Amino acid sequence: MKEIVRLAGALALTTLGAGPALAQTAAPPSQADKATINEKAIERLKAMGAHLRSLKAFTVAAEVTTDLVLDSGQKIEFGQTVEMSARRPGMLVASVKSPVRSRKIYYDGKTVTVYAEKLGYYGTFAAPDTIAATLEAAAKKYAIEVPLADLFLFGTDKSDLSAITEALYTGPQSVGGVPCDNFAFRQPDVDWQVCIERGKNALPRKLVITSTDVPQQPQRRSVLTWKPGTAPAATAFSFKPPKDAKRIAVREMAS
Amino acid sequence: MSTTTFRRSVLACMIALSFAASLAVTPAADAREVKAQARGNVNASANRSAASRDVHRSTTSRDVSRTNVDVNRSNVNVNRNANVNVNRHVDIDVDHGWDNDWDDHHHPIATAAAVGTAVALTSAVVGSIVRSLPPNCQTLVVNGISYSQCGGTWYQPQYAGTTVQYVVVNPPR
Repeated sequence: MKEIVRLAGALALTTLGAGPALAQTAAPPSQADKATINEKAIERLKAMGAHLRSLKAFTVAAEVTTDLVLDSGQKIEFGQTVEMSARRPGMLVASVKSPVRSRKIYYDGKTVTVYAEKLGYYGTFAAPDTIAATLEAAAKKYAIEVPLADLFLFGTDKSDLSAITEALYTGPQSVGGVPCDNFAFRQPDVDWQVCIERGKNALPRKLVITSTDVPQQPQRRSVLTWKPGTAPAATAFSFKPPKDAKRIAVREMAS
Repeated sequence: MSTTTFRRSVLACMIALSFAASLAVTPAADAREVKAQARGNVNASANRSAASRDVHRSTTSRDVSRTNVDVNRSNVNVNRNANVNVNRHVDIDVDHGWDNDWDDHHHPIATAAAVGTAVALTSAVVGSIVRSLPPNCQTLVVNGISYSQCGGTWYQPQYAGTTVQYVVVNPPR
């Protein structure tokens, strides 16, 4: 059966014209069932983290789709558009937009503001002085998950590479016309994949996160478009409440 | 193995592969590369599956305006409780689903959906929380704090995460 699967795989790849694997279909089967950490995958992940750290200012847009699991077990995919700009070390502005819900998040190095434009409500809380620490506080203390927070955590001590139990290189892909290498990682409760641009511009082009602690294994997929070196002026990171906006509390979550 | 089974396996692999692109790619550069095999079959067409599962079936009785959903983890590196139960109406009236905020006070479906928790308009329990308000509320600012007054019930909006929710409070004056 294994042979047939492999044959079918080669066949499919030929059909799809995606086949660097064609000559190697007779890989030794003996290693098939060991848990694997491909050190090259870890190295590329580190290189991506270092490259992300080196960007002093950037703007990135993402099409993000998220699975929601209904009580019935059915998975429903929702889509939204994220746009984010950052200046290191301590400025971030992110907007999350969909026709039914829009939020903007501002961080100017001192304060985080969450703003719901259609509702006219904003809420603020005092924040630490770096983006990474602020993202952590937002998630843990206020349950505010800033989209694409991982971009600021890869390559820092917040990214726990020791949690990774399996690391695979799954081959090249094309994301928005950009060739990238796709890597797949497993760690407790989460499987994830990142497609890293080839060459010295080692940027994540696609990030797929699968929650494995939920039976239906919902996923969040982010497809990224980068504008490195581009970010608005510093003043754009501070929230200036419109005249009729109303301030409300941001509830602290019980820890 | 029968021919049928064989064909189905090939088909399954091809379908799975065309979705999961290169899971079966095994470059020789590193012998420990991918070992994953396509396990599950993926239905390529929602409408081609078993006839009894016609997705176009319309049975109004199955409409559910409000359903508990699990939100999955949005980031790899931020640890938190991965499951947040969110009440969100997923079956949206197409005429009203566009360009509204889920938390919008005036969202007609959200209002209907909130009945489960905001059922007692006249005697809402102080401290209870709803995700949307009944119709005909007015927003008032008392001592610098925003309230929504809906009939005799006062709500104080607050962010819980990025969701605006409304806590039933005693009248502020």
